[in-house]
Amino acid sequence: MILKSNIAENLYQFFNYTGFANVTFGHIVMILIGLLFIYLAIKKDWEPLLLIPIGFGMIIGNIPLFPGMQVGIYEDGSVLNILYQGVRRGFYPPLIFLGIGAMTDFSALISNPKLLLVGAAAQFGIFAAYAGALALGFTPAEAGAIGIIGGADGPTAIFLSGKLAPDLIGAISVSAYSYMALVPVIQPPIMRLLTTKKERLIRMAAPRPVSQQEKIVFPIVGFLITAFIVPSGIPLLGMLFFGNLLKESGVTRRLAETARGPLNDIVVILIGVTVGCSTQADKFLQGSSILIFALGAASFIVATFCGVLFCKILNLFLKEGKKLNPLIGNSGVSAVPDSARVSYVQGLKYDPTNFLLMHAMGPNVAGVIGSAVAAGILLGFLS
Amino acid sequence: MKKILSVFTLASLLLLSNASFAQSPVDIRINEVQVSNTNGIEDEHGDKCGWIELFNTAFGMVDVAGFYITDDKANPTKYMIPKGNPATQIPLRRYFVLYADGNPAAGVFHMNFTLDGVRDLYLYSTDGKTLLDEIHIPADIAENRSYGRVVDGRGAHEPLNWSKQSYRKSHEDSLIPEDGGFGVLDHPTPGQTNATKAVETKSEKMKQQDPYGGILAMIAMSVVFLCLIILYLCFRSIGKRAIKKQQAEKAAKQAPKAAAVSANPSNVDEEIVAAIAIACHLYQNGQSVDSGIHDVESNVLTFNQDLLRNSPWGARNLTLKQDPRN
Repeated sequence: MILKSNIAENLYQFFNYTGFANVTFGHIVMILIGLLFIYLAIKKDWEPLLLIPIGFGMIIGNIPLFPGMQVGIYEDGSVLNILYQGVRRGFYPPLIFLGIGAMTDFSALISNPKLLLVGAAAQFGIFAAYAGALALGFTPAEAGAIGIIGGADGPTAIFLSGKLAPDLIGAISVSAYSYMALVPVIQPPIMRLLTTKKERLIRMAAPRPVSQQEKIVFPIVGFLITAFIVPSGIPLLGMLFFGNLLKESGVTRRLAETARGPLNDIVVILIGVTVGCSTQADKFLQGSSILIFALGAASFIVATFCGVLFCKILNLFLKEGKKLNPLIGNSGVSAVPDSARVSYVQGLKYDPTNFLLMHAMGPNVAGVIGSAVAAGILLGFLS
Repeated sequence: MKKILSVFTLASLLLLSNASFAQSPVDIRINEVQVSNTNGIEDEHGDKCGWIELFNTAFGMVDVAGFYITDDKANPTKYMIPKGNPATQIPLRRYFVLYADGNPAAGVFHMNFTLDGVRDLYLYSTDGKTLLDEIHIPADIAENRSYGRVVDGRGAHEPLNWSKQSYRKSHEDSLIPEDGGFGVLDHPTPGQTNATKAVETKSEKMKQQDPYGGILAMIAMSVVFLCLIILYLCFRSIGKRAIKKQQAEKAAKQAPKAAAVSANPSNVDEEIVAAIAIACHLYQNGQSVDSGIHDVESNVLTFNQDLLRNSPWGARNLTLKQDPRN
């Protein structure tokens, strides 16, 4: 009899530790969102390298836990918590920027440097979202972290939200990556809306060949200029340009390959899965997350709008033959290389012989620099 | 060239010598002093005495072991902060308190002089020569009041002796009161910040100054554009130079050829000559396979791969590596 009651008691105790005893409606919703991410990544091929780690991370993070077992991502000293420090303290994003630098070819930008300005114009989205977030009652620090979603740069969004609004990291980063995956859906209607058929057919002159010397000078001068103006952006800008120097110097091929290959892959895995884990239902399923998603969408729309519009304004001052095809304006949104690919696809739609990819890569990489600079400014003002 | 190199090396060394002080003795300040203490902090024996608070202004740890504190400039090594105690490692933006009871036997951080009647205090580096900071205490401070920096670590009575310090002073002067940043503090705060009033965060200040985000947006976008415009101008000029250089190189390459061709029109490229010769040969000897002028030779044994007639099991060329170098 005593044995039976002991067994029952132990079984009951064990049941209390299981996920079934602790599950809530929120957990189920978040697990379903995680599964949706995985589905979109596999079936629709939307940013699979990010959505699969984030999606599975969501599932990991939303397995209902009995608190105090030192396994949850928010429990000090747990394995997931230690891995999460890369997000929380912001050392994954600079490493990803190192990889981006090592895989990015800035030739298009160097051959036509006025494309840098298009990249700058697209950063308006960040500050539109910032103003919107303030109007919705977020604090300036939170608004800054939300605004950076408009930079369309996942690592930058994680870096800034880790510093300015750690409680919102999950919502901000998932929002940023979701909209980056949705760039092919969000941008084309805005591009069509703002351009005439004649403008879409503009052919841009082929970029001139860029010498090795110019490619080496670019990361050094680029870093010195941007870092002296915005020192708070050093972690991102420094790693971006350093990675690019590894690539272009021609004598550090092994280091460049490691930075853009294995190292980048490792960090992408860790950042994806830990960001996913951080979206625990009790922290993620809040009214503020819905607002963040709405502001994120608005910032992407404004950024695309401003990029395309800026191209059109710039064309007013450019001679015939040097005009920009405004379809590359959306690429100022620094979702590399997706937004450039959108320009390319849209360009081909209207003229199958007009290849805009190389031209669009200019504002695209300028957008990366621009969003890192903007993040540095927000950090300087608000942290 | 040698001159430029030596100037560059010298400048680098100077910069490095200055940079080597980063997060070092130069970052330590005498932050607060209490001469008369009857109802404040107690030492480990429960006694009340005067005290000196040091503050680490850096964003990295600084070890103050071996530093000297004195009230007499002629005797800069009067009291040395003991070495070998981990408590002397002051973390970033933190404080360190020394008891000025004139009784070093009472504990590790008990100084060998009291602050009674002391008007000047000096902090020296481990060499006993480099003056790091000084503080001049007014005579009329009431009992249980302290004297120090109104804002932690900011301000200086005298310009300090290192170039970096003078830079820092000028940099920080904009942030401190006009009286040098020192004052009598109503509430002594040993080991804690001297700012007893709640400090607004940057975010809170921004909310008051710019509730709609317009000012920040304008400034930030201007800075983003400024950065990228400077980069644009820079690379436009670099690009122009590169284009000129490329054109000059191209012209330099083409010049001897052009000169040779103009001097002797028959001196054309060998490949062109070969192509013309082959074309003439083919034309004169017929162009069909039957004419024999083509690249399929008769009566020559060749290996011809024919996978269709053999099963993969029998085809050795499929079971062996085609090219060992691949």
